[in-house]
Amino acid sequence: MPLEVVKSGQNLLEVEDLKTYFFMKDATVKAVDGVSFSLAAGETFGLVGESGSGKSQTLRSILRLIAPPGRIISGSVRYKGQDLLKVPLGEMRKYRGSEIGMIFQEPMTALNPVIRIREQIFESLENKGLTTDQKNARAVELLRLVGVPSPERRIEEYAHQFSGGMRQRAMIAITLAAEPKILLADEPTTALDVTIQDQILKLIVSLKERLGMSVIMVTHDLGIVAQMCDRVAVMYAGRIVEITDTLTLFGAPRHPYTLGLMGSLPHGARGSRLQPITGQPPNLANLPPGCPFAPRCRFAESICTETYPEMVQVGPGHFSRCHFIAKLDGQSGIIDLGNVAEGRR
Amino acid sequence: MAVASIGEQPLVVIKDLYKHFPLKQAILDVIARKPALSVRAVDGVSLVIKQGETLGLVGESGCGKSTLAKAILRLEEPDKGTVLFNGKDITHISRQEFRGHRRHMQMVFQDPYSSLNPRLSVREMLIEAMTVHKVCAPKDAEARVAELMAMVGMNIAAADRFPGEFSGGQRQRLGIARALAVDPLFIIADEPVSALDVSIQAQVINLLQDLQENLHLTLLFVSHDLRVIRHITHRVAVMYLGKVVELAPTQELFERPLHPYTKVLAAAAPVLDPRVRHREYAIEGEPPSPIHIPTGCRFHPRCVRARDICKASEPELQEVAPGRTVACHFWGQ
Repeated sequence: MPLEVVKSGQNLLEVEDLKTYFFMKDATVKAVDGVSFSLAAGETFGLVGESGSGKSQTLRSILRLIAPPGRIISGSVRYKGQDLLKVPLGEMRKYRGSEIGMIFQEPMTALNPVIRIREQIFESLENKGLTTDQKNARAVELLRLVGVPSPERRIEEYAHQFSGGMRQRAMIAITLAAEPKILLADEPTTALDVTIQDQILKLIVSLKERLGMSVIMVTHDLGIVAQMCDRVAVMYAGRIVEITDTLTLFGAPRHPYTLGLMGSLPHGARGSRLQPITGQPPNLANLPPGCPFAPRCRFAESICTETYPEMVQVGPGHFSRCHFIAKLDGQSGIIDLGNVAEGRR
Repeated sequence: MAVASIGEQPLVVIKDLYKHFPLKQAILDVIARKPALSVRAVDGVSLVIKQGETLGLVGESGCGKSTLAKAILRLEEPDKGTVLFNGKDITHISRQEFRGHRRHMQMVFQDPYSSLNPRLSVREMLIEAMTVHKVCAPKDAEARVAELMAMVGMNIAAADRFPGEFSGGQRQRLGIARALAVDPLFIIADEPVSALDVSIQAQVINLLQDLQENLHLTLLFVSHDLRVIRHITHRVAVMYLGKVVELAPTQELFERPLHPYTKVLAAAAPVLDPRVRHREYAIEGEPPSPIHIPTGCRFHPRCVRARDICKASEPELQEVAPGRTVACHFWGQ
């Protein structure tokens, strides 16, 4: 078992050495290239990274929602003692929705435009032995739970009659109707305004607690990580480069890429100059040997362009893929672990 | 940039600007003489942009910030009101006359892909901008292209390539280079970094800051991202449903927001510190539609402080401290 999979009897989900490649006409894009992590019961786990880092494809691979030319090459996704990657595809229906639910960034493309919200919630309530009246009552209750006003009326409507924030709520209601144990959230608030994002994120937190769910949250926004996640994995070019608890990530990150992300973040007052990561993200179809971050890394030496670094443990539950962990000693993130910044917003 | 270098001299003065978009009416409604409805995108905005400053314009989608930006440059003709540029009225002059001023005012868009001509190479694009506005002699154009590419941190070898061959961050640099090609005094940047990944976003923010300092540009920076606004601007105007509700120096606005809506925006942005987590919503509900704007103070149906007077009368922007204006009946409480 890889280092970064936290060993505990409490793990609900264990992803090990997952590889999902896209076979294009003239190249193979290694979107996910050996990803391992675990999710504990009741935990919110974050997958953070920039576009093309493989975070969304990792999430989709868990439910095997990968369409050609993409294919899951190898690895395992263990849930309740079962490797989901070995389940016959036809039987994945037993897991999708009812065991592991998923919400997406753009609810309009995830919702069915030609059937009413009510029917879409009903679909999630199938096989629960409910009468139509009971389903109706449950659907209204769910919409109320996620904060849709006048749910009795809105349940009769179609997705296009909902605003962006309301669509996201409806999608959450549909997902929750099946009472999943794990909620996979793929950038659920990226398309929303900041006040609506605030509502949706806090809604997910309270629903998670009430329903005892675990959550995997994919995001590019470190603010969302800070507010939502217990542990977090930082992805770069298809792999996890650092994994730790959220506080340590912000206080004492131990991977040059994570440090670079922190330096890129505008925080605090005007005047301080940003320290961006130089250069461009790599082309996944043509990755150089060695560490894919090396060309942009200020700590890189010749070994970095030759050998891919192994995951090494740098603290309790804290792992990093870097040849020069020692150089990063004493580097701090954007929060001072000895001092709570009161009310910094 | 030292604060002292910002002139108190206004470069752009916006006076009571309106831009409404009429909605299509069904024929029966026309016959029945129902009042025509319109989206009141910009609904009476007055604002001064000082020479050499970066003014932030922040608000949620639909608040009218982008329409205001376009109305200043007459990319959307304003319905009413005046924009003075360098003291001259540029709203009530002919389009032809306006073109003469237009080279001093440029725009950088959110999506550089749709705002760059895909069929022109970078060099052709830059030379076209210079030719249209006759900013340099044809024999100097080549040198100017090299200068512009260097300014935005791009290799001159890239000048023969086409927009489609660049990444998002590079395209945004090219969008900035095109804006700079005509040597403008004033640039409106409409969500220039919103579509970029955070590491690339930081590069473009630094570039904009450097250019502004070195070229003494005046910048109107439109964004929904408070972290970026706080980092890059000198002053901030907060918009809600077509109006400016608060205007203040950036640091003061973030340290002591006075308008209830500004407080909501600040509270809703996720704090970059996992130890500071709040459970309660910054605000309930969603903004009303800019078609049916509430009477009185447009924020009153969602405001925790609202009283009877807020439903009845719309608060004017009033100066409550030097350089700070706020439109709220109860700002002091």
